[in-house]
Amino acid sequence: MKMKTFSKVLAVPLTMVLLTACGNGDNANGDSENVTLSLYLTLTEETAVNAVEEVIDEFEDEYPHISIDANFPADAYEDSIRVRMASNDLPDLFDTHGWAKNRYGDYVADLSDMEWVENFDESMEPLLKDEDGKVYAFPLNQANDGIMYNATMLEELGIDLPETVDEWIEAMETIRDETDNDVSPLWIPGNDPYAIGQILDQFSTPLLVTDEDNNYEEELLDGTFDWSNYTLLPETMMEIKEKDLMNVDALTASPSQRAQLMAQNLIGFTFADGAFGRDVYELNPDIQVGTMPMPAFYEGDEPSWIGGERHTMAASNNSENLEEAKLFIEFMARPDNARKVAEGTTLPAGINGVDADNYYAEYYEKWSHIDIQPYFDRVYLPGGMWDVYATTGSDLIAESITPEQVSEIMEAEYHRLRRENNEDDEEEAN
Amino acid sequence: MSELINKQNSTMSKKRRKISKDESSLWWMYIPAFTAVSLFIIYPFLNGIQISFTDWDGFSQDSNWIGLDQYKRLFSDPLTWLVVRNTLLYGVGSTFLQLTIGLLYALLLNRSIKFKALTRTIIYLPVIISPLIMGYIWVFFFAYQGGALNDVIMWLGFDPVNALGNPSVNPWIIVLVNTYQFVGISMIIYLAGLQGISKDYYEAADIDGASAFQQFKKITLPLLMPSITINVVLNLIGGLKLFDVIVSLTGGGPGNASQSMSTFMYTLYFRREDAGYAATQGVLMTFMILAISLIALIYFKRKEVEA
Repeated sequence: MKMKTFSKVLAVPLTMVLLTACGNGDNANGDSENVTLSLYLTLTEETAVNAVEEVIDEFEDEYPHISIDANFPADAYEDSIRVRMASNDLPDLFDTHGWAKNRYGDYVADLSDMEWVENFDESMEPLLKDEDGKVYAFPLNQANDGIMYNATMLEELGIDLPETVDEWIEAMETIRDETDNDVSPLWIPGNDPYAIGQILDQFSTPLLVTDEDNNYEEELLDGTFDWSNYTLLPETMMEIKEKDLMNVDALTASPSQRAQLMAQNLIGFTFADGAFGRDVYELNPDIQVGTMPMPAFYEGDEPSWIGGERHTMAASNNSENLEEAKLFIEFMARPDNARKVAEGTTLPAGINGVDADNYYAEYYEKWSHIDIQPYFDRVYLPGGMWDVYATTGSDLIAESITPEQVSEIMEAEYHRLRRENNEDDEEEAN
Repeated sequence: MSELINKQNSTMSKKRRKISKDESSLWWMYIPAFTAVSLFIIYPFLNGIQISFTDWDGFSQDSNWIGLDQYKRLFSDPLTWLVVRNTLLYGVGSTFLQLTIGLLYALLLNRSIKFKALTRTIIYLPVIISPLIMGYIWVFFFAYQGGALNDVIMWLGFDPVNALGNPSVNPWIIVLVNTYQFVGISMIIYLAGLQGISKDYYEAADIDGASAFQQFKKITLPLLMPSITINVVLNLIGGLKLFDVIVSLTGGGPGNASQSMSTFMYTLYFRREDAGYAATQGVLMTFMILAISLIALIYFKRKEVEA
């Protein structure tokens, strides 16, 4: 090949490489005029993604020299972020999705010097700020989880909202009997085992924390918890199964079926995210979805909301564009933008002074006297237990293991992961 | 005469030198492939072995060296034997079915039949679909609610079955789906083998009065051995490291019931924050596949005959 031709051929890939390098969202480029920020969020609902993209467009109009490369990898989020954590190469901006302190604490920049910090919602502040005053992330919203239910059906059948687990099971039995088994009193999309994990995690709080006589916070935190106290929860799950109160395909049903089945009036209770009510409304405006706090396990205890950190925006402390990243967070914290995103996720905003319209507003109002408890696993369990919740729950429903074996597996994994995190020693485990 | 021989010898040694010089210049050609294999296979593998001696969680910047603890755990963990059993089922089960069905298809399509090209294309078509997509397609067939299988069962007046949710059934469904998808490759390899067998053998056998079955047993099968060897090794390796179909069909569930070693490794690393143990499972899987593949290769190579 002649040198001239060879140079031309070589020029093409070299130019492409150079252009790619310039357009790399994760690196600061030599040109201080133009900056591209990489943003990774766990948001999946279309309305939420659209709301964020709308804010991004407005931000780019206001700051033409900054562009945002937004990514919404859904299920692949955690995998890709973990890989990037291992190489200490996190995106400029990313979602800590409930793990701001425990998992991402060493990787996030301190945001305490930002204006919005003084508007922190009182329930969010302790979750995203430590005793030294470090602020880990900006809360896009706050979780307020309980059980979603078919309000239309419960009203038609004259069922009072349950406040204890026993009352909840009675309510489901009524649904089963009054509808000739056509309806799933409890509908679980176990094709995603994390949906089963979610149920067990949410019930762990009323089981082991909120009741005074059955409060094991101290033991859970110091590693001395007797896991036989957990067995009541898998036993309750099996009772629900044996009484034909959960869908037959609880292990294989897909979350994508949930809204459609609720719209067809075929579900009594289910566990779902904020967008669920709105999705059902779009399919059938005659079905009203309600939300209620987790019923109490023990007589005399109160129901409880499970909540705290849901979607956030943190800045990587390794980012070469930290100033620009904080500029975007500040923009996102403006009341109009914060409202837009909170409404997109159908959840309350994470900062004060933002009046977000919410599908479930009347239900949150109705249960406003109920305390919000943090997610059980985030406070009392070491990282990595979420998958154990999911697999033991699936195995239990498949009847591959007994409720006692569920507790044994939970105990073994709890100690192994604590040891890995240097929270446990061999003696405690044995 | 001796001069001539000497001259010939010196010419030959010059040629040899020339050849070896030419060959040495070709060694440079190995560098790109060797670099790629070193970077993307050898280094990660050695790195994986190193990680298996630690308690690394998969993302922290540091970890503790714990010696053989992960290996002790590996052999005392009941889940190890569950996933090894499943992996062997996927590997050996898929291989057996693909060998058998692939051979039947090849024998059928080696004859003069109508729509031969169309049939061959239809059988091979699933190969070009992503295994992940293939899994999702079959979910629509086996799904409890709205699945085609249950529609037929209910139409016949029986109760619907939850096949994908049944831990004793769903590993077999994975084997069947994997076989359905890749039987086309086995068929093509067999066809190539069949078309390489001279017709003279069959004509001679006809004259000797050999039956069709005797011809198959004494001529076709021995001469097809090289194709069988390739098929066994390819299908075994593919089946033993099965991942995508499991993810989309059952997600390894219910619980861990249909996990293979590949999916279990993925779960340990990405879900359980247990990268050290995931690497240990990976080491076991590598040596298991290596041993089984080598045994199969040596066994079938010995069975091969010269045409």
